[in-house]
Amino acid sequence: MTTPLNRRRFLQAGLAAGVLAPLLSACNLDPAAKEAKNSVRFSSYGDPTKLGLRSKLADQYTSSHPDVKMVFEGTATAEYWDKLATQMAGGNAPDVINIDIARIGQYGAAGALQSLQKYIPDTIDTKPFDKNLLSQGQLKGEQFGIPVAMGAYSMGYDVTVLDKLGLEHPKETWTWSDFATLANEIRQKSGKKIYGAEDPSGDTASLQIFLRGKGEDLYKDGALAFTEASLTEWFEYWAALRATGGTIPADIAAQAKYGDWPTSPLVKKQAALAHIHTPNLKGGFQDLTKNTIDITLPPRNTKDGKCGTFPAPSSYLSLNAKSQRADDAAGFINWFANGEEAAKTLRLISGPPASAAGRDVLLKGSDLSASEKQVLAYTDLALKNAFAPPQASPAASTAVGDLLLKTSQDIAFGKISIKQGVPKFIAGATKTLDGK
Amino acid sequence: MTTLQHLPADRRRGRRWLTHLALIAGTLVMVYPLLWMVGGSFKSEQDIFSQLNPFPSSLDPRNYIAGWTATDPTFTRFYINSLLIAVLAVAGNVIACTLTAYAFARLEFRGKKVFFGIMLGSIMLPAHALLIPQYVLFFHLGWVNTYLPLVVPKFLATDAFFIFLMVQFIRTIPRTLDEAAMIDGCGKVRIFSRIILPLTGPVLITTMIFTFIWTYNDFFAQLIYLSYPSSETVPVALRRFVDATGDSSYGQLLAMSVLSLMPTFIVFLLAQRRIVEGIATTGLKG
Repeated sequence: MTTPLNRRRFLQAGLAAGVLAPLLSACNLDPAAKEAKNSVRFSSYGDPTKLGLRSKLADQYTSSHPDVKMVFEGTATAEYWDKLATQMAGGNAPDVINIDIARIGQYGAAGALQSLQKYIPDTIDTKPFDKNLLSQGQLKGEQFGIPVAMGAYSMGYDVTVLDKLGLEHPKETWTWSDFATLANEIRQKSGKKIYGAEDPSGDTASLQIFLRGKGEDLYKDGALAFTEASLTEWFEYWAALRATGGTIPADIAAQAKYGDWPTSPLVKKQAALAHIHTPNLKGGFQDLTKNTIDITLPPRNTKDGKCGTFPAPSSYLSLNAKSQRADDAAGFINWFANGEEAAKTLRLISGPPASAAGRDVLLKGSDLSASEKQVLAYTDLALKNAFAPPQASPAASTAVGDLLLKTSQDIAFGKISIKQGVPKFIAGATKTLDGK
Repeated sequence: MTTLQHLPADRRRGRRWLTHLALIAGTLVMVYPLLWMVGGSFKSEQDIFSQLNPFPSSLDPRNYIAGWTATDPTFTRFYINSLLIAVLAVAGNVIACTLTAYAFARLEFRGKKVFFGIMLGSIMLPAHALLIPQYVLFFHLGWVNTYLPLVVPKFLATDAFFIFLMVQFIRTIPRTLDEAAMIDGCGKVRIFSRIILPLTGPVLITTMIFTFIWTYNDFFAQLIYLSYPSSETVPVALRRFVDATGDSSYGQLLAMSVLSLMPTFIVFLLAQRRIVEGIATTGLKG
């Protein structure tokens, strides 16, 4: 059988002739690579445990759907985005793409992802999803991503320490002044052995909880959506706690990275209160400390005021705009998000399933661990107490976050007064957001 | 300040003591992260970040055993992949770069200066500028998810740094040797194999060592071109251990990091003298 000599063949032959012969025998080409051409590719990011489970999920789907062959590509989080960007640019991105909240907007707007609207409700059932969660996967009213699981901002507290000091556990409806009282009591009753709370004054997520409780927000329509007075109040609140030992001093705070558990004052037993993003409760915080940790709603401004927390999708499943097998891919997305088998396999690996169908499957099961129960209960609480989620963050939000951190540290170390720091931050952040 | 020679002997000894003390202190500062890593690889998850003492309480190899088999496939596979790619890259660079360097240093052909300029220019191109075009090229060749993009370019003399290194070295070999060989009836190929190649020993060793270390440490290309666990390399597999969004097995990560340093460490130990030689003798009149 002869094949016509086209340009690509010729190029390959020319390049490869002298070099490839000895190499081909040495390189064992992955069999999966050959199959990838006529199958649905599914890429995912996360830690090894998560990737292992999702890989298993792809296999399960293949065995229960004989006409579809799922090929799984897992990459560690930090590198995943570089790889995805390269694949997108090279026209070789997978069919089903696991994507995060920051990038779904970028890729969706750039036309790299498909709208899922034509698959709803026949192929993909979105009824079991909380509408506040769904709306966070929409661009201009069209669904571009189906939420996989959800996480929410919670306030973690060290049960072991509180019980030892004879202090009451925080209540769901506690206020910022209750928080300050408790933090100072921890400091006093422990004989100044540990501090009360972490210092989240430079953390945008924590500031957002505080602002939403006041009816404001971090951003709206790409600009800052809070007043100078609110930010001043925020910094003054933490400065007062810093003075009494209710929060950790500046030098300890500078060593703790927000959202990172190995350096968290809660794990290092420097403080008994710190915010926890729910998916990290077990694998992050609880596994690194022998003390028991529990979580509750973050404080409000007033007893009957609004609580600022809002469940957000941990990540989405999206469809590559260039996918050759979009129908099969959409079927898989639905099975992953709503299916019983998927819920049982994944459990709470990225937080509770975003779909109520998936959560019901887990709640019916009798094998829930203590941490899983904590997170499921808290998620229900947060869903009940949440109001409309914020708009998607503008692209410059990372830079604004860095600026807030720097401002908070300058204030904590006494390099700048709150009076000078706040206007300086607002001017800097506004400039960053305007792209100047 | 008085010079050392003018001081009484015991004062001089004291000075030397101080110098050594300062140097040892400096070494400790440099080595501490490594010590911490090796120590941490023997600790339990909870002790790694809560104990300041870098020395573990026991030499329990648990993390090493668990880490080696924590992934599917195990690290045995990743090491085979990594070493295979590195060895092929070394072979490719040695063969292709010596031939190219010989051509630039000894042969006369049309456009030599231009080609030499282009080659030097390619050293200055940042890898990121080439990334996407290269990826597209390999994708259309159907080479993505194989080792070919990582190995084949080495056989086509794309590592301009080593070509330049060798050109400089070959230029220091006296031309009278070539002429003597020519009178004895050697052609261009014979001169290369009998005269030039045996004399480029030090620079060949340097090329081998650096190619090995750089290829073994090269992370990004391996990440992009290899998508399936069974073809992954050590650096990529290592990254899967630590993750910012969920459980991390720090003890196992540290244990595997210690092991992953071993190949480069061994190569460096064995070849330390040669590395210095290879660099020091290039460009010198031999």
